[in-house]
Amino acid sequence: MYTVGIDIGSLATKIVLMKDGKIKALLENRSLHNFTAIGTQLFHQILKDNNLTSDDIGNIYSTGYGRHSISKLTSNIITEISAHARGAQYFYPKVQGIIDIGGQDSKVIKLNPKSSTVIDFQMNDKCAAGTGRFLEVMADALDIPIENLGNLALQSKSPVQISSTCTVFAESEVIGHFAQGTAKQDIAAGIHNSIAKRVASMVKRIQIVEPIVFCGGVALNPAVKIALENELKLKLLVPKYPQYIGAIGAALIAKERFKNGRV
Amino acid sequence: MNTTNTSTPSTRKIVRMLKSSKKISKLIPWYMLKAKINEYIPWKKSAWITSSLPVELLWGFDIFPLHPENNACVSGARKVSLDLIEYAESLGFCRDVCSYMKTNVGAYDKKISIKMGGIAKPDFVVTAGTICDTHVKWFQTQARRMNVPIYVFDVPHIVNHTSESTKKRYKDYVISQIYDFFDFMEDTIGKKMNEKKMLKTWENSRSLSDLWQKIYEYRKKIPTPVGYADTLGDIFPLVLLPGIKKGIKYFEDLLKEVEDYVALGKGILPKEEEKYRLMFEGIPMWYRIKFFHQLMNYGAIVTYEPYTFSFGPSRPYVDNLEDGLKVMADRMMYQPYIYNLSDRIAYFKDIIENYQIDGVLLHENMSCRPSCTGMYDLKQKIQQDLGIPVLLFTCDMNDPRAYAEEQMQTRIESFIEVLEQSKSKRLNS
Repeated sequence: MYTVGIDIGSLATKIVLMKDGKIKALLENRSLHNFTAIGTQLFHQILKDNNLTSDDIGNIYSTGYGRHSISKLTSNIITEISAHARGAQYFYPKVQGIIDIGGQDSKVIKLNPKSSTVIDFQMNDKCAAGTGRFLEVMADALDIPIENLGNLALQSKSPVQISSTCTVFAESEVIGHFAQGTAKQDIAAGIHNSIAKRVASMVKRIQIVEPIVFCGGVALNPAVKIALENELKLKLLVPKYPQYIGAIGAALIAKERFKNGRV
Repeated sequence: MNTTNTSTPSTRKIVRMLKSSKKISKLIPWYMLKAKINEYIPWKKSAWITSSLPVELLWGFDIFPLHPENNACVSGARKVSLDLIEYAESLGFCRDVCSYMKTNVGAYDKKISIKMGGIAKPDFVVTAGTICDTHVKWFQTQARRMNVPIYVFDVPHIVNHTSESTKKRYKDYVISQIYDFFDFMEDTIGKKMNEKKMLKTWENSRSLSDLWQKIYEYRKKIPTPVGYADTLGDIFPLVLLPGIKKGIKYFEDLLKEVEDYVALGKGILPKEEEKYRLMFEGIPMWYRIKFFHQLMNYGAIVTYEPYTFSFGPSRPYVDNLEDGLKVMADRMMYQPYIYNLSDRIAYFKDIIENYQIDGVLLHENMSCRPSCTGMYDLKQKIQQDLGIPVLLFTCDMNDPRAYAEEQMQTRIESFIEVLEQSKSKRLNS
């Protein structure tokens, strides 16, 4: 049976097609300003690419910030928390904790070691510091492509300290360092340490233990993983397709909840 | 086709509450009218008072009580608090200062109508730092700005290992201050304490609290016959009318309806729809009361709030001033919000068990340090010892800028999913 999981995030929308619980296809695009349009477009695209029609799909679940926006297309919704927990288990069945850093929010999820169900979670406060958006703003301030930010940070031997917890003030701090002639790689490393400290405080609040999966689009950035590992003094597991974990989880839950019809 | 970028689903529009609770819409205007009349009669005296102090202290002297916190809630619920808060911030009060205080500063200065939370100038103000240290500075500031006298009670806090002999000395200290307050009333306001009137006030107050206790007892029933939509309004008589007869009739009608509900096995939600019974700790977000109604869309209903319970503690019958003052001093000293952590945890465990609570919501209130201190310890302890889910979320009681709609929606939906898993696991085991 085919199932589809669509994760409509604030910055990117990800879609996964699964067959009998195995990944068949993955697609993503910027969410832009119309969740309904992007979700629908990606759904039709993935069907077309795989020579399928809507009738071939057993169950469709949406998750993410825009999960309610495509209710005409989907059978049901699931929150990012449950979807990421399930998606992380697909790659690491024994996972006990999850750190997900997405475009607009970051979350830490604690799983019950016996039942693998979610027992607690923590999300960032009403602030973009500690999210992918923070890194985007900082990359803009340094005038480098976001894709290069992580590798640049890894070249640093003397990271600066970014002390502001507010994205806007941190941007001013970065510009200040830049104006003083501080090397870009040292500023980039400071930015990564700053995001790591922010997320680490959330991790410590709910006390998750290894094995911990690090996912979300930001997990593609190797410098964030290293900064987080240094801050938390533990190892993080980054799965294949970290940005698709929510969509994969949604597709898996769609399969598990399918009972002779879409539910 | 829906093209709005939102994570918020459509919600239930019907607010489920008891018919008797709706009568609050008559009781509050009655109080407001009395307040308005009081304002224009020169020989009638009024005072501002804060939570944690017994309002009977004022009714016993025939002083009309005005309650800035209560009026601030009205401004919040009427969606005008932000304007008032921003006004206060323009005067220099900072973002982190209590949003009730800033609402009060704005409401008083801008002379908004009492219906929107406006408040008149009092003849004096009386406060204490018992549950909130800001109360003292707030009233000190406003007393200076309005040029009225102030009386401040100094109520010692019971902490871990406070001995019985120390507690007794604390109590004597508080009682001595009540006598001092009587002198203040005579010297400053020109009103003498009348023992007979004070005893009558205490008796009315006791009747009101007894009814509240009985109503609360019925919240243990499944399905619960009283929800948060009820108690949010029902606390009004406990905040402002303890000591007079007006609130008693309101509670008698409420209790009768609750008893009828229980006899018929009825609840605010039908039994089959009441899936999750929640405890809510903290001051509600007055500008976003809809939040609590929306919980019912998921079969979740708040069945216990330390906040509303604390306004009507049980108290013994007293027939003389000395005993009455002892009871009053006890009440001023022992309030859930000043419990030390171990007592607070014990209190929560007791409630969770007795009210068959499935999950706890903790409001980390950005501008109210006292009400959210210790919440992380509380959360961990409940999860560890009782194994039930706890959601701690950050908002503010009266400042809507602290409420992020989409983030809250995600938190609540996620919490419901956690509750579902937790409850089915508990039922299976």
